[in-house]
Amino acid sequence: MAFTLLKIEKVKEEDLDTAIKSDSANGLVKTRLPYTKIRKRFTLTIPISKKDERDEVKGLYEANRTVLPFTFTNPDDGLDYTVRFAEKLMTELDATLANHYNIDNIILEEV
Amino acid sequence: MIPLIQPLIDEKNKISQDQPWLILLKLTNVAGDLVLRLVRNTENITYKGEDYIAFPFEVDTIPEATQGSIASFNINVSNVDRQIQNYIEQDATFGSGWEIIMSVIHTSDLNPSAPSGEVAEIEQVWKSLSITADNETLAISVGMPNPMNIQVPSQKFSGGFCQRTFNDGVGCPYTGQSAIPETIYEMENTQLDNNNYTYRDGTNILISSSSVNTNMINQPLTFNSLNTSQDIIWVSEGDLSSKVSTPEFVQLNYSRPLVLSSITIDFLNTVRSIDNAEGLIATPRRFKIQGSNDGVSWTLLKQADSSNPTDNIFNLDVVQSFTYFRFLFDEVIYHDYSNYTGSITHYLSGGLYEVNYKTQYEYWAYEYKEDFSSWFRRYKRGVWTDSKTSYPPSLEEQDKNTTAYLISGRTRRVTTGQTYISPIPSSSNISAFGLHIIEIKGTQEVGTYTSCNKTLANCKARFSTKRVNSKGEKIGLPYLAFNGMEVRAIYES
Repeated sequence: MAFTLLKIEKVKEEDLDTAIKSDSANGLVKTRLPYTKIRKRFTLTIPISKKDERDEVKGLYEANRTVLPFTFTNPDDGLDYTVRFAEKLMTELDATLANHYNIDNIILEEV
Repeated sequence: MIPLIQPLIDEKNKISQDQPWLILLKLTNVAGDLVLRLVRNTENITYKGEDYIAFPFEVDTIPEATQGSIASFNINVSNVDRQIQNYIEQDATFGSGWEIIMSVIHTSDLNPSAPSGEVAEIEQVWKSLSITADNETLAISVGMPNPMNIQVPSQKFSGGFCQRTFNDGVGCPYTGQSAIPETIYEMENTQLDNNNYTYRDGTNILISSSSVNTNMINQPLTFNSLNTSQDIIWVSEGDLSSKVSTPEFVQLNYSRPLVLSSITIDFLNTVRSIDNAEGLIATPRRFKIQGSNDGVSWTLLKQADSSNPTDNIFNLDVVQSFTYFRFLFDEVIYHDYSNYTGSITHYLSGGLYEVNYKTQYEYWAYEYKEDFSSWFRRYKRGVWTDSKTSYPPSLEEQDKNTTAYLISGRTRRVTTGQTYISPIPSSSNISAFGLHIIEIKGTQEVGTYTSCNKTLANCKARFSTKRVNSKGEKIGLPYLAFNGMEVRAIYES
């Protein structure tokens, strides 16, 4: 799914590197991949959000928490990834701004 | 050590391998009816047309035994969700003895366009020795069974003792038992329209027939609301003229040679099950029981010909092993039950129900249920007598206190090739005839021994060779062939 309300400021995409690297005395490193599929990790940076934006991501989190996978559409490449929340969702009501929230980075990991 | 092929060696020796090697497990239970395919990967794959499920497992280092011990190692499968454990617990051997094929393949093998000859893999076949489980890991100990624990020969013979002394179906009978034990290959779970069945000993039976009447086959016996849905009834198809002129047959094909000793059919239930409402149906009262080993040339085992409806057990004249048995009907009897409709008026309260078959009468004892809701039959079978005025002695005293109700019946015998004209209005069922097999008794071929009772002295016929050594002592030289291997053992007595 793509967030309809929530605005995403940055999307950091990285591989969950499972490559096996074997060092040797002469500094030569022998490398190989153990699996056919290289999973990805997405770190979403969220700007200060309004309540309905916060509620959208909160609803998604409470429906899945860090257990259930869901489909995430990467706004960068437009592809769908089956991901899970890697960490719990942290939101903070900003008392200086009415109905505005700070949302910590959302980290999604491909299953 | 199985040498790797050169492309595989080249791939293995690369400093940087951008395509992974995958470990596949194919687990097959002892019965062969459960196959689990797992791949240690992050996604499912298809290899050689078979789907492998991505599943976490680890394979211990495969040891090399240099001290004469039997090498074994563990395959540790994730057991967090108990998926594999569930299969193990349902298995008859609890996972022991499963065949485990472990393959190591290169990702390039997964390319469906790759030439089949270039598929490179390492494949090893193991047996599971034992399985232990905890809440995280299912540890499958794999290796090979210790050959020193296998008894060779698998059966031992000791002087003065015959190990097969009880009714094991193939061995020596106990005192008083018939020479050939009758392991009963009942038709209990077999239906003549469900023509393939495997008995518990692995013997398979395949049933076929010249024709099948799909409208009437395997009808539950609904005679006066008395259901016996377990009845096994075969009914031919067609109209009257074609059935009389065309011999019909039912054929039983066993997967291993059997010796049939007797067959029991139920004449009456056949009659009533087929058509208890409209009158005329036919039953096989003259038929041949034949045996064959190729389904082409047949040996006559029994010519059954009886006009007595109660004569329903036919002992075979020829006791010989065959894989094919056939019931060939060359004459049928048509019975007129036009007055024999399933009406409650045929019964008298607490009384008997009488059916006339030419010169004989059948009595059924019926009772009203306590709540007077319906009738039920007191006995499974009727009782026959020659006269409707003399009550069968086996009926209970209370049954004699009521009046028998007579229903007239007529029978006609029609021989193959003759044209039979029905004396009553035609019925949709009048042409068909049926066979209701209650029981088939038979056994596997056991040889020609005559008697055997614990001591080897009584097993002479079984271990028939007698010899005398240089001292003039008797020497027996028996041998048995089993599992494709001939094993000889010498004993002295």
